[in-house]
Amino acid sequence: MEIKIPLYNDIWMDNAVENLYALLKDFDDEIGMDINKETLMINYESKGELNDLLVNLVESNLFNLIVIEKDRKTGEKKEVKKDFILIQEGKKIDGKVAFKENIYKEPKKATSEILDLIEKDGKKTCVMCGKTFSKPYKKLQQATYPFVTKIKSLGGVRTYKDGEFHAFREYHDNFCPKCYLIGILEWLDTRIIYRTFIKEKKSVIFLPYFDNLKDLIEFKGEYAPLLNKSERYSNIRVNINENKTERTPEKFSTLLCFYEKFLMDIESENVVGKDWAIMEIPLGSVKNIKLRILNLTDSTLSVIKEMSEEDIRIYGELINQIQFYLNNPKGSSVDFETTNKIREKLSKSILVDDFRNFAKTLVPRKGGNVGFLKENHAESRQNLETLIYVWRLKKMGISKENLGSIKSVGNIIAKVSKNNLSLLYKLDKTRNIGEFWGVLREISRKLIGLDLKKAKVRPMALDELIHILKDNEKQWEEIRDLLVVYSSMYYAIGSRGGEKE
Amino acid sequence: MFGLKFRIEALYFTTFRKSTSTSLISSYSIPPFTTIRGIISNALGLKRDDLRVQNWINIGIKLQNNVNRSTEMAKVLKLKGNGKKYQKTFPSSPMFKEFLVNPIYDIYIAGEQGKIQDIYSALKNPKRPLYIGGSDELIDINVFEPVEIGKVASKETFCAVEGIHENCIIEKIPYKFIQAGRNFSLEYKTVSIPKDENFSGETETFNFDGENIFLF
Repeated sequence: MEIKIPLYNDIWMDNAVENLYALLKDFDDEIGMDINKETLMINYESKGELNDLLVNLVESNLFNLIVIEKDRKTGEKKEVKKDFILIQEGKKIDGKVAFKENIYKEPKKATSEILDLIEKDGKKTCVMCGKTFSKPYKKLQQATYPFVTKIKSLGGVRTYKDGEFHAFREYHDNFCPKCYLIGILEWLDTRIIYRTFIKEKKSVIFLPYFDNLKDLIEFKGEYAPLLNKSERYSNIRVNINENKTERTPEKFSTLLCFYEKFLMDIESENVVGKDWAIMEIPLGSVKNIKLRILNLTDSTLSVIKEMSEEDIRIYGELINQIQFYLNNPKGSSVDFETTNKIREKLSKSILVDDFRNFAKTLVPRKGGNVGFLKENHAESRQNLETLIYVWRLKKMGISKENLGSIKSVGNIIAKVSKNNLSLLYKLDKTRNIGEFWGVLREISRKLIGLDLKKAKVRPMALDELIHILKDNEKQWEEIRDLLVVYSSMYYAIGSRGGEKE
Repeated sequence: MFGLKFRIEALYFTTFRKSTSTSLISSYSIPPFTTIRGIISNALGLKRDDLRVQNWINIGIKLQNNVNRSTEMAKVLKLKGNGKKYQKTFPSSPMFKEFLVNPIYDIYIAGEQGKIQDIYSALKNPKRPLYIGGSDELIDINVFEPVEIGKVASKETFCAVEGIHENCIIEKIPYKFIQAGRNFSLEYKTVSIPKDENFSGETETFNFDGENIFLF
């Protein structure tokens, strides 16, 4: 006998098919399974044999849904359901999680009933796979497929009777037992990347998607060692051989952090996924899910890859080294909330290939400015320069010599902005090349009042920049953004009395 | 066999809701075949649940511009009551809704000459206002003259093709309603929508005045 599962072309269900394949393969390498790009075929000798296999598989992987935590008051160890899991939970029994879903509560009974139903054909058509079936095991619910709700008034369609209104029916009872089985088991997937933010009351999960099953299987298999399934708030390991996990500030930083580890710590990457579904799941009782599809471009991936080839961890050794320093600290000199926001914005800019926003994020703002952690300052600064070279300059065709001129002008702007940031803000806000020329003219005027020796600036750089701009007029926006980045960097160095150029 | 091409432009924004998304609203990239038949039925002035058009035509779809997507927080009214009594208020629920920004599609239909001619006249002079996605999302429609079409073996086409192919957006899209008593179920088709380049591969298409179109 066999069960044929075609690719659904659906983010959740395709990951669920891959998960079923991985679970079965991990559990019993001998089981007859055929996969190709579009289909998974499970062959088995008897229903009893498959039933036993599924029961064992659920029972032995149940711990993937929970974490063990110490009770704050009593100090006793207790089970906690992972925050992003949408399966309903009953009252704990002896500190153990009690799931309301039958397949996790009484796997033997549930799998037997499901397999019985799968065997029967009928007249109903499944809303998920489009195949016919006789009777559903359960209605389509969020526990099986996170993008639905069981609220009847939102999942129904009006029907008519003899031309009159006749209330509405839920078409979600047209959900076949095979899709139920596949969908509900996806929560056992240990390759779902997750990050929970208790303060923001949400979890974010990342699911890769492909248009073929083989690549999905290979990619998830490749990155699996990077994840630690027994941590509650995050599952990306800090080091591949350790259990400690990363505490990234938000979703984009989590994904960037994942990529740097994937490209640096995994020995062979045959398949590199670039399409992701990012799901935000609220922690409260109302599960208004937010879904964002992120398609990374080849050029973004090549930047992260090139940085890792240079042995630079783009998140760990650059973004994570950035902090927001307060100008007049009373107590802490670092604003950690703003720091997290800045790190997230910078990560997003890299992932969506938005250099404009990257530059904007580094501009000094009210109350403080962006700088590097003091202990790794020189190294982080060098990493930023490498990133700018790999990300922008290489593509723009600007030589390192010309970059020197841009940097020097950045230094001039930082110096003349010391007590008045309006020039730097003006530079950041230029909308056309005319306005950009205007700002450069203003800088040249301000140079007159500057003590050149004391300020350690090179006035000739401005002349050189004007020539670069004349030769590369079409790329004026890129040059402006480079100038913003360097001005902000030198401003931060100057205001904290750190390293000089 | 006769064919007809018409271009639909969703004014401003629209959403082609995935039937399996009810805790949020996600959208297909192209209008489902059922939606296109709905526009035609609407233009013809057919009543609700009149599925005649399903048996008349085959459909081809070509995406005319890049699909830009965005998300908003929408207030979705809940269905309450049985419709027999006047319902004064409807409770609502906030939900994340994905929408497409000003998408433009070329739609190709093929069938018998008489039916195509009827559809042509109806689209030129529709019985009711035409919309796509939501009932307040009106469309601009540009109808071309019907032409005689014939099969051609093509290695290149810009339009959506059946199955899974590389460098395409892959979606499983509602194709047909199947009525069983008072219930309706859906038949889906898996389509590949070429992203940046043409779809290249051997496939049977129809020649619509020089354009090779795959018909579903």
